[in-house]
Amino acid sequence: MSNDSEFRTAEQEVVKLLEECAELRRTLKTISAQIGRMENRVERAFPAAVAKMRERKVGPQSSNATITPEQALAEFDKVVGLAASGANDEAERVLEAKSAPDLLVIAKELGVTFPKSKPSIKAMREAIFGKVRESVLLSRHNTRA
Amino acid sequence: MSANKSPKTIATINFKGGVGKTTVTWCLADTLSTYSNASVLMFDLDAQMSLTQAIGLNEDKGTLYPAFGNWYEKSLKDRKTIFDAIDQYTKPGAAHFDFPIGYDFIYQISNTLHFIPSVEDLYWLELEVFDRDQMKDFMRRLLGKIAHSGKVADYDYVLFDCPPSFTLLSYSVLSCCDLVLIPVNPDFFASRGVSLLLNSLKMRIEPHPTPQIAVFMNKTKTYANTPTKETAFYMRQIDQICQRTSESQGIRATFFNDAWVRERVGIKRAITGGGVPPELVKDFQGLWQACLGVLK
Repeated sequence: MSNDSEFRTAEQEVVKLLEECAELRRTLKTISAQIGRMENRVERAFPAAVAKMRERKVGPQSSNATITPEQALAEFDKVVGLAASGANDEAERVLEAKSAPDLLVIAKELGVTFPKSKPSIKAMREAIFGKVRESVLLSRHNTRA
Repeated sequence: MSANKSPKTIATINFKGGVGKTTVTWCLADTLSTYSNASVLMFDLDAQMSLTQAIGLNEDKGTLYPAFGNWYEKSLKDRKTIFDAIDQYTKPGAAHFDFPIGYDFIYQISNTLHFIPSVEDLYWLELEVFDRDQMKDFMRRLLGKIAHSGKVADYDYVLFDCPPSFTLLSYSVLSCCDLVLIPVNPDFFASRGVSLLLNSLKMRIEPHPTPQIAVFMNKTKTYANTPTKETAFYMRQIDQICQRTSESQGIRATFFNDAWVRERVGIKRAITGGGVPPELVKDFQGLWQACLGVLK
């Protein structure tokens, strides 16, 4: 610290630096919030373009997939049908036969989210089976006639 | 209601609590009375009185608005509440349903939106009224009395905010309404509630004909102005449940794929704060159009 420094002591300098850090953080937060608002406005103004852009974003991840989103839902219904009729082993085999990109397409169509950007095959199968169980439970009733 | 026409009756129901029955009932009634020439009568049949209290609550002061508060106190004192109407209707030995209809029984929120509030006594209705068969025609008879009283407005539509359980009062409503409107949320438990309701409704209200049933997604999570994939999953599941139960139970259950209402934080303040938020008006107008479509 030089003699002509505006800071008299090391403690005061630390306090000043921390204050400047806090100010910078506030500024960044303001910028982030403004960008968020701009994004929201753009999304509302051009929903179709935004949807297209998002599809493009997920493209590379599922580029090796052999099924379309519609086919993914049909595959899911097939597995649910098997599980609902008690053929759980067969239902599991259907999913085991799927490649990772196909599993990812199915999971995405079911609205499943993963903590990692590249989930493991096991995690995808378990998540899809969770949705299968939900679907089966939604249709099961034990009411007295 | 024109002289030759009965009002269309719509009951908002789901046995799952928290799906938005009360808010949906209010928003539909408010949208309808504000943006059309329709005259609307709204019932709060839930003993929890959420709709009644929300209408009367002044958020700023935390007290009842004097107009509604005074009217409500008088209706309790003069025994002109929905519970008193039931009491009169189920009284042993009563030859006629002799309950006077007037604006001391029906509260005028605005020129086109009128309201029959709930009372705490409804909590104990099941203990005091044992005769299920006696209650089944109560609402039909009450609506008839309102229509022919000549002392209140002619209503085009009657909306019921039903309790989240199968009570004698909801039984009476389900036995006579034109449309059962079931709000559902994008989660497993709310979807399960729809499934339970659809699979047991016909059996529980027989021999009355099962009304038209419509299910729609409330509190829809959106992304780029469309339902998220997760929400779309539940919408698809419920659509399938409606189709399956329509076939297996012989009922008319429709899922509104295109008439969903988006999630909005603080929507409950639509009741206490004086109206449907502008960004949700189109959602409720769309929902109403879908309701009219199945009522035809």
